[in-house]
Amino acid sequence: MTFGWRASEADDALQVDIYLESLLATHARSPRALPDERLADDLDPAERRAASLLADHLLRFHPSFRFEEALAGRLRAVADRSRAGNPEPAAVLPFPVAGADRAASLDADFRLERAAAQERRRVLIGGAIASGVSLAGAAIVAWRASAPPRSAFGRATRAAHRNRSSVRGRA
Amino acid sequence: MEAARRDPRAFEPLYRKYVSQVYSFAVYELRDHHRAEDLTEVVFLRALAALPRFDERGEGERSTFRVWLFQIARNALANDRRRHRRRPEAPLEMADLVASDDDPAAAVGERDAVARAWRAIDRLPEDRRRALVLRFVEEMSTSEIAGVLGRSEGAVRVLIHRALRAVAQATDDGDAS
Repeated sequence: MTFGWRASEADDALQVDIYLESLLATHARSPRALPDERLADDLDPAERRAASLLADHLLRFHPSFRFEEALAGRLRAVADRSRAGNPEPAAVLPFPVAGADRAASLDADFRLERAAAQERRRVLIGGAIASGVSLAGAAIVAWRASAPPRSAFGRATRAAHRNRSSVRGRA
Repeated sequence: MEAARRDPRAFEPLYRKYVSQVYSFAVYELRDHHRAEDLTEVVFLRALAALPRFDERGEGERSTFRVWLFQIARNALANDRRRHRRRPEAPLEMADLVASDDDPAAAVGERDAVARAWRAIDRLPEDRRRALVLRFVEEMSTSEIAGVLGRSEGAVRVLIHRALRAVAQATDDGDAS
């Protein structure tokens, strides 16, 4: 059976693999430390230099904190729904960005920044949680505006605000 | 892992542990941070949905969860490629990430070498580039990479060696000129 490479190539590749194992393990302990040079005796010096360069400079990228937290929130919501015995898969729906209410979806917020470059893009809407949250938010604001404050200070502040508004209205 | 399989709410520690690895893999593949975010999102949503079907083959350090997660990432990438039907256009300019040293001439030389190395990686066939990134960036073992790519360990070693040789040739040519 042929695998498309020579036996000697497989041996060379194994030697390189052992060297890389040592290089990356050493690098993880300290970027300036050198691997066991005995492992590199039969290695091409150019390949050793290239391996060292890649170990130093092929960096791992990290997502933004905002993205990471938004996705964590989405996964929590999906897990909660699944735990509640409603594990329906998230649906992919077209999301018209133009004119969309920014408060309509807390979850979609982080996507809106990038959406400026694209008139329409797709967004995963996992259910009605986001709209439920925004409705609850609007209800709380309406209640706060109409309910009488509990403290005397609160009542005084609101009375002062009403007086100022009516003076402005007359002016 | 077992806790997450029993209760999906216990998935978050796994997500926190692997999110930057999956995102980074996606950036190297797609060269676009926004598309990498989309792909990361798809990978973790799929992983969460499929977790009850995940078959753990190892324990602790030998857990096969990371391999399984990257297999999902590989499939998601294939779908993404089918949808976009084009190779990434914007190369990642890794050379910009080289920190300036006390010795400016050495820093310039190193930056040039990194730029040449990155151009060589950019020209590699997909499987070689992917194996190289999984080895150097994700620091996966040959056996893990074999699991992700669906190849034998011997094949993965040869892929990495050929990729390294191409990078070495590119950086050496630059030094000679």
